[in-house]
Amino acid sequence: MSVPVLEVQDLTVEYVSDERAVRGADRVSFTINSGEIFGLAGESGCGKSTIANSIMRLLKDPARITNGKILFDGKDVLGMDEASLRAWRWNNVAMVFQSAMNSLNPVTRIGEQFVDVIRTHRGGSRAEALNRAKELLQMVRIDPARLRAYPHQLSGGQRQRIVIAMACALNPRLLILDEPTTALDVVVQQEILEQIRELQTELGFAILFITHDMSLMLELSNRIGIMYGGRIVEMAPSEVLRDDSSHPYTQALLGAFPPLHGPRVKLTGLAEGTKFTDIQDLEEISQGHWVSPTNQPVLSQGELS
Amino acid sequence: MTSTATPQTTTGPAVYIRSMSKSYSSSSLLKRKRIPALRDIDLEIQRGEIVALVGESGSGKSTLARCLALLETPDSGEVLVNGKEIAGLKGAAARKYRSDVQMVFQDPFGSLNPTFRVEHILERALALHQPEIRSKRNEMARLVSTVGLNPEVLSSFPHELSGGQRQRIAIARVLAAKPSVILADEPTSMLDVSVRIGVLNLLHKLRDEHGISILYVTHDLASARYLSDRIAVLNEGRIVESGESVQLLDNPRHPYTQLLVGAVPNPDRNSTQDATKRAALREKIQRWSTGANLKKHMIDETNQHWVLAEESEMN
Repeated sequence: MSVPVLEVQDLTVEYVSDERAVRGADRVSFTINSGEIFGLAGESGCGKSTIANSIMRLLKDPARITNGKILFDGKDVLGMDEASLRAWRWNNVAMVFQSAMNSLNPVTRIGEQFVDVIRTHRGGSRAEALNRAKELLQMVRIDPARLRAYPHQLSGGQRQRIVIAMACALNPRLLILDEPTTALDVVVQQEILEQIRELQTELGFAILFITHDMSLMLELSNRIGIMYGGRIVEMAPSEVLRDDSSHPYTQALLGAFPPLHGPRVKLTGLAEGTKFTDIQDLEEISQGHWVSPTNQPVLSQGELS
Repeated sequence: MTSTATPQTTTGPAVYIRSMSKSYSSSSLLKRKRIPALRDIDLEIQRGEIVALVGESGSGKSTLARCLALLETPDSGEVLVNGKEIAGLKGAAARKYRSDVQMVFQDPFGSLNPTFRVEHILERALALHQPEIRSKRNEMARLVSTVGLNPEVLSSFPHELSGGQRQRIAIARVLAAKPSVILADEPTSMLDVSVRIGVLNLLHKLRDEHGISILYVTHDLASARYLSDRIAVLNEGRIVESGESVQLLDNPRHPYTQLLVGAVPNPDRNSTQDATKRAALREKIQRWSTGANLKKHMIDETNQHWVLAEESEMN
């Protein structure tokens, strides 16, 4: 864990229109170490996908990065030109998008899509690329014969595994997973997560994991940042966040997922219309546990009648 | 093991379903086949009871709710709501039924007309279902406060409200019909996570304060456990296991329920459900569901916990 794989410093992204600018991400800073799974959790509109897209340099107008730095292995990502970006994406960092199973080309066989990715970014012959594709499919436990299949011949879960395998094709150092299991049934979701863990053990990449599902996040991630309104309000190792969270919004998020075991307690979630404004910079309250100071009350829990 | 008591109008269960089946036809160029969506469903919801119907996509849970809402017609079986057979309801009787059994949909963005203010939406519901009410204004304010909102929202348009607020308005509109049964089909899955619990708490309150029976359709086992008194697990159109929520999930007996429970993300879990375990469970599900002589076996009488299985599997 010498130089972190990814360092995001004071990143600010604005969506600019004629009348006003809305901050999609506001002075966000975090690092991801080599081989680490870092989770960004928050609700729709909190800016988590904006951050993922900034790292990949995929932001489109009207979004603008107005401040901050993104360093990958110490190299400045925001300063890269088109050619170096092309060489950097997939080879060093790959992203699996929300509902990625629909990101496969419906009129091309799976095998061709692998060949396409591998040869564009790494060259080599078609046969070599196909061999690599076979290896990858085996890693995600899909019969390599399915390389001849079209996407519609596969189930949603299989397609999702294929997209993840494709993202791993060139051994990236960082994998960005943006809600990789939303819209999948729980059992399929469990299979995909297991696959991701296996691939990670085998290939050793770091992961930026984005989801709104706290129970999923706690299960997979080593460290978690909670986002609200474009800012990170709390950041800590998973166990600390689970047992000892401090920000009321984190508690509301954790309280939004009732437990499957133990006594039935009444949860409160976030009251309708609750807003946190003027979110302060993070302060370290214990080793590795960062919280944005707030004077809003901690949410209470009681017995469910 | 089935109860054979005939339901009565005043004291029987709110919803009483026996041997209900429904299939959809799928026709392609060469063959036409019927795909069973619901098979031999028996289900009761007592007055003031919340029953959760859980299962994966395609298990038939929405079809069941839609049959109760008269949006689909079952192929066979008996469905009684408050003691009355619902098959063949027409005209005024069907209208009366529809006000008595109301549905809350998944998508509060699609279920409220964007061109009208909330007050118009609620006023229409009141005019249709409770025309005798004189002071609609007061009633609307009461409805809105019942669902935990400020009367100011009456003058808002749906797009000015958050997802949670919109779902609450949809529930207020349902209440305007004074229903005895609410069918809630994944009412929180489109909402932001932090406001979901609030909507579940609201449904709980409606049951406690108004004695409304609720069928809660969901794929989320944890929320089913949180909200409902009883859970029925649907697998490929069959209810394979049912019982008191907490007890059922602590002690799932059917391999399908075990598979689902084991797959829910849970950071506190001490043993993980790995691929081998899943494969073993899947094989068992296959064996259990193709049995020729499936019967309900009571596991725990006090919790009404039963499982659908062959005799030979129960030892």
